[in-house]
Amino acid sequence: MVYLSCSYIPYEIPLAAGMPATRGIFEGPLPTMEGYLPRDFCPYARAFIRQYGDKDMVAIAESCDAMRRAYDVLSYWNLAGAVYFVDVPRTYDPEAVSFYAEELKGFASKLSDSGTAPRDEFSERLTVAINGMNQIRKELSCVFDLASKRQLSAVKATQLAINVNQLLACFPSAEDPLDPLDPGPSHTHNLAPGMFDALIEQIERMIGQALSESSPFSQDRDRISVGISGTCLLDLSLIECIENAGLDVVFVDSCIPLRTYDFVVDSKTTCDPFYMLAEAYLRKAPCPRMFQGKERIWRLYELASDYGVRGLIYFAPKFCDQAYYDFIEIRHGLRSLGRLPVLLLEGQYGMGRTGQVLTRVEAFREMLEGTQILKAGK
Amino acid sequence: MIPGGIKARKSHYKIAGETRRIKIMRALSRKSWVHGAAKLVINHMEKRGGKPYQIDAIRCFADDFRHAYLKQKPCIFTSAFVPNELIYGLGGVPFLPEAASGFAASFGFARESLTACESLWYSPDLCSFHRAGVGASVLEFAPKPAAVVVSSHLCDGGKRSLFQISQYHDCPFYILDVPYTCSAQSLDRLGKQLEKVARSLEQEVPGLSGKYMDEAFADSNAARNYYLDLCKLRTNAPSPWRGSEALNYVVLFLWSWGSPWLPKFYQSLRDHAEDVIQSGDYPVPNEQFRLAWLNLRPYYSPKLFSYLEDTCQVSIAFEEFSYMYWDPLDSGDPYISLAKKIMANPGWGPIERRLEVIGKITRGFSIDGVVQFAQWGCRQYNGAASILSDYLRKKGIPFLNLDGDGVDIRNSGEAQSLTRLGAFRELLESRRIKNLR
Repeated sequence: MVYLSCSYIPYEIPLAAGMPATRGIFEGPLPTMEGYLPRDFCPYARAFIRQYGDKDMVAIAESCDAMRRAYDVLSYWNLAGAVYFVDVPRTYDPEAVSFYAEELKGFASKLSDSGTAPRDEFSERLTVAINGMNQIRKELSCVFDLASKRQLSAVKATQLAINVNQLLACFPSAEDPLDPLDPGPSHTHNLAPGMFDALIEQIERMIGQALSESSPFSQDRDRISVGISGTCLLDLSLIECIENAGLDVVFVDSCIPLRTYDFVVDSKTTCDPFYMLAEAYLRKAPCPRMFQGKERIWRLYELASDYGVRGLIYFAPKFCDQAYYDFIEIRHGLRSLGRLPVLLLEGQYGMGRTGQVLTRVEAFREMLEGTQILKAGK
Repeated sequence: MIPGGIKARKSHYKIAGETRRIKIMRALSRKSWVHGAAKLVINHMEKRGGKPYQIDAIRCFADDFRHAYLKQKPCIFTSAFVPNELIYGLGGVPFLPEAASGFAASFGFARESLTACESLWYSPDLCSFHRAGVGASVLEFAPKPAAVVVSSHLCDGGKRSLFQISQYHDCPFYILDVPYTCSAQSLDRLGKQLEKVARSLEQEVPGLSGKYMDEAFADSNAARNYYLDLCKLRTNAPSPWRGSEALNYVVLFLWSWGSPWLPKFYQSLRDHAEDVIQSGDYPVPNEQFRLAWLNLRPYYSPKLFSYLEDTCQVSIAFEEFSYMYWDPLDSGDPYISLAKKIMANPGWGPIERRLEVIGKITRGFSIDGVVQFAQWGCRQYNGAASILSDYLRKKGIPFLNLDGDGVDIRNSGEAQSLTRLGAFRELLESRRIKNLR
């Protein structure tokens, strides 16, 4: 199994190497591993510190200071079979794309255990993986679209994205039962065209089931729509809390789900697939770690305008420096563009289950309702 | 209007932290007669027998500050690990807000800067060196930058805070996207970025030109030679220079490479260390133990160090931030040379690189114990505490991770730190007794 730490590391590379891959999503730091990183550290980085299997690889991206230290800890204390550092550029320009394409080739070589540049055969498998992942991303984009139109709750949409991540943890294994709760032992398979079909069918079934089970969501059109943004949404508890407080979440701009699945890799051109992969991943909706000027602010403003959002809830994992700085830019940027109110919530895993957070979200809802009444009065 | 800029806030409200003394200092810092008077004070200090290296250091900063505040040269804000030879080489003066925060703390101005910063939604959980830097810029206590250049390696707070400063001042912002692993391809990519930044600065900032590059490189290399001599002298036991003072001068080590004053400063300092060794007039005469100090120090209070050096007779023999990690620069291939310097930083790359340097320091300077000042909010260095502890334990060297804050006195528990240092000293002593038995 390959555990990925960041939405900038493509699933396609391990899948093309015939290895199951999953984005590391955890329930929180393990108490037994607390001593490895200080307590005043990002909870996601701390949650990544655990004992992995001998055959597991952990791929850590150059996301932030905390994840670099997580890489050091995992590698120094031999907590996984292999730990690989993926050097993701912080800028998006042709040089950065070429550099990242080479970096991805290095990652592929490491996974195929050859230590040499990947061969044509790997590139073919990579194209299959890109096409397969494009289909999966397309399916999930439809799910997020339903959430944006308030036909599906954001909790369910995000849960579906997490389930797909778990399905990928058992892939490629078309003949095996796909049980998201039991990914099974680590194994490798050769990827062939058509292998994604069963997986995509499974995802379609999952989506259909979620839609049929879901009670008509938000019939009350007076409920106020909000968006969520931040670096890494640690768990679903915050979305649940916001929905319970009487607000509709219409987009979740976080590594999981939107920034991981809401883009497509161009596989039709004859270009090197590694280059296309690098290009698409660096071009996707930027994360706060990237230096892309005002792109994040414009994007959030567009999302807010498109979906009629009245307020934004910014979630910063406790001690996440990237989020602390990003929030300031987003807050001032959205205020200057459209006077969109922003609420900052800061916390650890499970923070949405605390009364304090619920009170703050309810107060935010009341403020938004007050603004709405005032506007209607005018 | 700049989306994301903090200007909108400024136009509507009085900025918190803008006290009367800040207003006075801000006005004074921009008066030419103040800088003229500073020159007279330095001359007076020289006549009164001030230590030459201290006078050179003051001259070095006074010169840069005069150029920056009076706009005699373009002032370029840089993050701590940008090679400033680039800025001096273009005929500008660098200004490092995070390093200047140390100055502000030692002169008692950090509180206002931190208040200003926090009023703009900056979290108190961020590193105070960066928060104070942003605060000083917002209060316009720091000079106005003509451009901002940051490097992406090491510290997230440095680059992000400087990006926001560039937004505040509406000036060009450049980022050097530093690759993690050192290879020919990485060096080439970084070298090209450096060249692009230099060209762009020449075009965007009036008064900048690459014609001073050779001179800056020569000054940097000359300073490096003197500095290496000084490092050799510092291996002497007892230590010829106070570590607490050396930690103050780390700011020069971060700031002034490429300045014409730096070779003079290190030459004077080397001569001073030689004189101390010859005369035997050591700052910690009955040196009991020698420590290596990792990361920075609290700049607002000298108590920790007077306790260590004067009361406990424990020397700080060398500091991690004073370690010379790069090769001489080559003016024939300036950008690749600077790229090599950036990538040679031991804090960048896998932790083994930092461990190797710490190993060299402990061996080369006969170190008895290692103290890491765990600066609040510093994820870059604090995150390695468990690894450092294990690495040093295997080498038989005691390690203390001392929590504190270099700039924000509110995060400091001085009495607790003194107790911990005292206990650490006792531990070193008990080990010595055990070894004697």
